[in-house]
Amino acid sequence: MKLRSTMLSLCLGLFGASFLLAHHSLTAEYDQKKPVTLEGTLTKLDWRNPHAWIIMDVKNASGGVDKWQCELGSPNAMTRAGFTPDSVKEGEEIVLDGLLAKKGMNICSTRVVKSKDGRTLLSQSEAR
Amino acid sequence: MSNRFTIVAALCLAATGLVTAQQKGAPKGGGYKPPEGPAPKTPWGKPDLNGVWQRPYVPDIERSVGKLPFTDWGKAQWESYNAEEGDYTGACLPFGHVRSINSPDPIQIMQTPTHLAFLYEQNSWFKVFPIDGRETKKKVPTWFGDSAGHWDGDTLVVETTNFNGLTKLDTAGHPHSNQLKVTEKFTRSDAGHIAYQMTLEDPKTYTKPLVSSRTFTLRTDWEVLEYSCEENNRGLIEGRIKFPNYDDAGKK
Repeated sequence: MKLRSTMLSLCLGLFGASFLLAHHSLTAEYDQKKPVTLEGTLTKLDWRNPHAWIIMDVKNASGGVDKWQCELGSPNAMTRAGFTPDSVKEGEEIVLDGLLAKKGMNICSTRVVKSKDGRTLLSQSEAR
Repeated sequence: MSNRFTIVAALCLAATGLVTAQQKGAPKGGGYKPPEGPAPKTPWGKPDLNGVWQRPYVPDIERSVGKLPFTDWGKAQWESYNAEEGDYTGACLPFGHVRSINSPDPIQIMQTPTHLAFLYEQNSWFKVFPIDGRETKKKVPTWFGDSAGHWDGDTLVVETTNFNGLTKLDTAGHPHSNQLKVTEKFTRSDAGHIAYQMTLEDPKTYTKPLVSSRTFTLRTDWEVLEYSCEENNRGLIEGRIKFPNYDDAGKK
């Protein structure tokens, strides 16, 4: 896991409220001061309301694999924004930017999912 | 503003722009233009409010109405609110009408000569009420309140009272009491838009009425979709979202 905090923290500080205030309070569940960037393999895209979830395997420092689950927006809103369950494939190597949950291990809120070559596959923006 | 701040702001805005640009290229994202022309009428001669409407997301109503004029009671409610102790919407409880209007999900309006229905995509709720001038019977106080509408020229005026007081006005969690009265005005300004005005009167919580004006956009390319809030609400199921304590809330 890599933590890239500086830029993301600055952006969150400036514009955090615009995307952290989803239809219910995400700040109750996620810590906007703890951004996280994960690189790993998508094992499942759980495309169901109220919010979709990404399940991914991430290699840890000791050589093992940690299973992460990261929350997305509602499938309805993401569909209107042009994303579909086919936007990312199971088994695909992805880079995910998000925020760590205040409770629980290896849980985050997803902001952006990119391919390893930098293409945006899924994005929250305001698609909550 | 320092140069460093300006640079960071510019980078963040650029990043936002990239996301927006990506979405504009998507099949159902951008490029939509609402219909143009005069405001349509129903076959019975009233302004036609039917359709699926996109509304601005208002997560913090203070940004829409200006600094909130709290009463002492309202200020205490606001300052003691902690979403971590139970944002009721995270538990899939009814948003209530004001927070639903402030939410980003579309609403379909269905209109007859005597009634109007709001079909909220948010959690697949609905609300039906008369618009022919009759009064609504007051029932048990509810999350969405009791509404009654009448026409003032080409503007539909809807008044709603009898709230249970358990909801919040917006995602930020701004409070209201069970004394809240909501007056909404719907004017079909043209073929693609509704001019909307919402006035919130709640003397227990605010010393003055809160007035917010917005524009609704007709989305002929959208359908209201099913929204099952309970199905995959892992935050609640796995214990990260608290269910609110209504024994305390009911005393307020």
